[in-house]
Amino acid sequence: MKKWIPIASGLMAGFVAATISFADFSKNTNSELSSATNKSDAEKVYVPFGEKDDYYLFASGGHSGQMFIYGVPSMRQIRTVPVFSQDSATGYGFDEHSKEMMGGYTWGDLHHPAFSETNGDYDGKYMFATDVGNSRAAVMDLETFTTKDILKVPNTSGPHCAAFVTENTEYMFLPTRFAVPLGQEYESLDDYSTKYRGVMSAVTFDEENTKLNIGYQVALPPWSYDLSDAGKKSSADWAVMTTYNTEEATTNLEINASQADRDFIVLFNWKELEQMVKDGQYDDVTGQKMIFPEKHKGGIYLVPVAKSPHGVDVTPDGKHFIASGKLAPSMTVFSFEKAFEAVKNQDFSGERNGIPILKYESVMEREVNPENALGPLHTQFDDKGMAYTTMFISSEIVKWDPKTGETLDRVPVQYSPGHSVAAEGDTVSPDGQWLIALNKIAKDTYLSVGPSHPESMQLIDISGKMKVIQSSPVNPEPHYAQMIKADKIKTIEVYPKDEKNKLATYKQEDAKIVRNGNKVDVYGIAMRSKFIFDSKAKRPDVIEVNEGDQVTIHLTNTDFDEDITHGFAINSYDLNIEVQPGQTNTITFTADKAGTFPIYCTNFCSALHQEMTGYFLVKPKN
Amino acid sequence: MKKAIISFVTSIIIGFGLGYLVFGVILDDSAKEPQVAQTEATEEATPTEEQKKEPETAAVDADNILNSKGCLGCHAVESLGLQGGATGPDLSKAFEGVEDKHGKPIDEFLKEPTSAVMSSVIDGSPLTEDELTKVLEMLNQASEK
Repeated sequence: MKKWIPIASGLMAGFVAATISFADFSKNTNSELSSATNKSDAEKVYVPFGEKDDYYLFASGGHSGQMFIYGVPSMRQIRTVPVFSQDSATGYGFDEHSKEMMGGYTWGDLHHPAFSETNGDYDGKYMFATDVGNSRAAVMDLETFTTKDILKVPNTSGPHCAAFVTENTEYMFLPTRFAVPLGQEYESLDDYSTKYRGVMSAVTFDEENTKLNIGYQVALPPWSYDLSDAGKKSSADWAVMTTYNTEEATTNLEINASQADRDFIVLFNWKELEQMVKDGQYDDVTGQKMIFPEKHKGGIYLVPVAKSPHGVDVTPDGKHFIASGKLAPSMTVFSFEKAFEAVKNQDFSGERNGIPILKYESVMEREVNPENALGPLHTQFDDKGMAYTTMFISSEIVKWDPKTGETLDRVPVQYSPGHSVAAEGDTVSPDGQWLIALNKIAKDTYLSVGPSHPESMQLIDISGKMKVIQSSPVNPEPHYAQMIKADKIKTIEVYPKDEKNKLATYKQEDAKIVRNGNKVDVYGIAMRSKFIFDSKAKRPDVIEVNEGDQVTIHLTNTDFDEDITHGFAINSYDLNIEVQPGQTNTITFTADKAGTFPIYCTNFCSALHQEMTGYFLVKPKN
Repeated sequence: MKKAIISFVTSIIIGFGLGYLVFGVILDDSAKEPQVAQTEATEEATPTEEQKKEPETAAVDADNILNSKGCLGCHAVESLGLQGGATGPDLSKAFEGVEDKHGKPIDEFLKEPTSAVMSSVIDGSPLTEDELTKVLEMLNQASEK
C-alpha cells in the first residue's frame, strides 16, 4: 500500500467529521436573508443615521386640525404642520396671516389630503386638505410646508366627500356630507326633501396668488355624499362620488339611512358642467354660480349601487371605478366606458330628483366578494394594477385583481382600518412596495396611556406576499394619507430677501418704532442672539407703549441661514409667533394690560439664545 | 501496516482540526457579518457624501486661511464647498450681508465684532492685517459664487 493513501483518507475522514460537527448550514441561509435583495423586516424599516427615507407620508390629523408628516419606511414623524388649528409650536394662528386665514375658528377636522397633480401624477407642489368641522378647504405650499390659504365654502356643511383633484389640478371637488338649506338659513326639518340640499363645490386654485376660489357649485339632492375620486386618462373629464341617505331621513340615520336596498354613485362630467356655467345655465345663490340639475340637464348621472357605499376609487388606467360596500360585504367594479355608452344612448331606468339614473346592469362589470371579508371601505393600487381594499369589520387588507375579481392575498391588521394608502397609490402610476393601513383602533398594541388609546398606522410590504412589518402610533386621527416619492419635494431653506416687502427690515439701522396716534408699528429684527426694535434707542430691544395702544410688530429674521428660526413671545400676554430664516412675520394686538412684560425668543436659536430677550413696557393710562 | 494505521489516525485528527479551523473559526466569524452590516452601511454612507462634495472642495486650497484660523470649527461656507461647524452662520453671503445685519461692514466687524461670541473669539486671537485681507478675499470669493 502506498504511504499517502492512509494519510489522505485520514485527512478526508477528519475533515468530513469536522464539517458535520462544526459547519452550520443554517447560517448560510441566514446571511442570504440579510443580503441587500432579501432584507429582514427590521432592516427594511431601518434607515441608518445619515440616510433619509424614500417617501414622505402626509397623514391627516382629523380633529387635531393638523397634518402629520412621516418618513417611509422608517415611520418616523418628521413634522406637524398646522392647518386648521392653532399651534403654539410654530406660532400658527397668532400671527396676522394665519389668524386671518383661520377666520375666527379655533379648530378644524382635517379629513382627506390630496396632492396637486400634473397628468394624473403627483407634481410635489401643493397639498390640499378639507375641514369637515367648519366647511373649509386649505392649501399647503410644499416648498415651505406651510398653509398658504384657507377658503370658507358657503352653502355647504362638512365637505367629507373631498378633496380629490382632477388630472391637472383644474378643480378640487368638495361635495358635502350634511345637507343644509342653501345659505344655511333656518328651515324646518319637515321640509327636508324640498328645502335642504347637498352641495358640491368646484374649487379652483390660483397658483400665482396662492388663492383658493370657487368656480361653481352644484345643488345636489339632500343626501349625504361620502367619498369621491376624479377620473384618469380616458375618464379624466369625469368624477365619481358615493351617496347614502337617499332615503332622505332626518333623524336616527344609523337605522333610517340604511333602509333602501340601493343608494347611488353620482357620476359627473366636470367639463360639461364648466361649459354649462359658461353658457349661463346657472342660478345665483348667495353670490355663487349654482347649477340646479332639475332645471339644467346634463353632466350629472346616477348609478345604482349596493346600500350605504363608502369609498369609490378609480383604477390607475382610468377605465374602472370601484365602490366599496361598508354594509354590503362586497366591492362593485363599474366600467366608465359602459357608463359613457349608456349616457350616449340615453339608456336610463328613470330619474331621481331630476337626475337620470343609469341601469345598474349596463354599467356594472362585476361584483367581488372575498370570502368572509367584511366592511370594505377604500381601495388603493400597486404598480401592477392590483387592488388593495381595507376591510373595516374583519380588520384586514385584501389584495385582489380588478380584472377578474380573484382574491390574491390578505393580511390582518390591528384593528379596523379606515383608509389605506399605497405609495403614489391613487395616481396613474402607483409604485408598489409599500402600503400603510390607517387603523382606527389600537387596543393593547402600545404601552398604555390610560383609557384613550392612540390610533395606529401599520406599514405593509406588498412587494411579495403581504406582510405587516412596522407599526406606529399616531395622533388623532388618520383619515387618509398621501405618500409621495421624496425626490419630488423641493423645499427651500431660507426665505429669499424681498426688497418690495415694505414690512421687512433687513438692515439693523432701519429697525424703528413708528407712532401714529394710538397706533404703534414696530419694524424690528430678530437675529442671533438679540432683538432690535429701534436701532437708535438707548435700549434697542425695548418696546414701550401706552395702555390701550394698538400694537403691530413686523419682525424680520435677518439670519439668512439654514435652521436658524427665532420665536417671539411676550410674557403673560398670550402671544407667540415664529420667524423663519429670512422671513418677515406680523402680529397685531391691543396693549390692554399695563405693566412690565419680558419679551423672549421661544425657539432655541444659538449659544446665547437664553440672552435673546427684551422688554415690553405698557404705561398705565393714569 | 501498523505504521499505516498510525498515519491514518493521525491524519484523521489533523483533518478534524483543520475542519474545525475552517468551519468553527474562520467561517464562524464571517457568519457574524450581518450583525455588523448596519454599522458598515452607515460608514459607507459618509464617504459617499464626502465624495459628492469633493469636486467642489477641490476648488479651494485645503490649507486656506479660514481653515488655519479655525473659522471652520464653527462656520461652513457652502458656496465654496467648505464644510464646517453648525454653531455659527454659514459665511457664503457674509461679505455682503454683515453690514446690514450687524450695522458695520465686514472688515470693521472682524476687527471689532458686535456679537458676543465673535467678540470673545477675536479678542483671544486677533487677525493680523495680512490675515484679515486673506479672510476678506475668500469671503468675497464666496459671495460671488
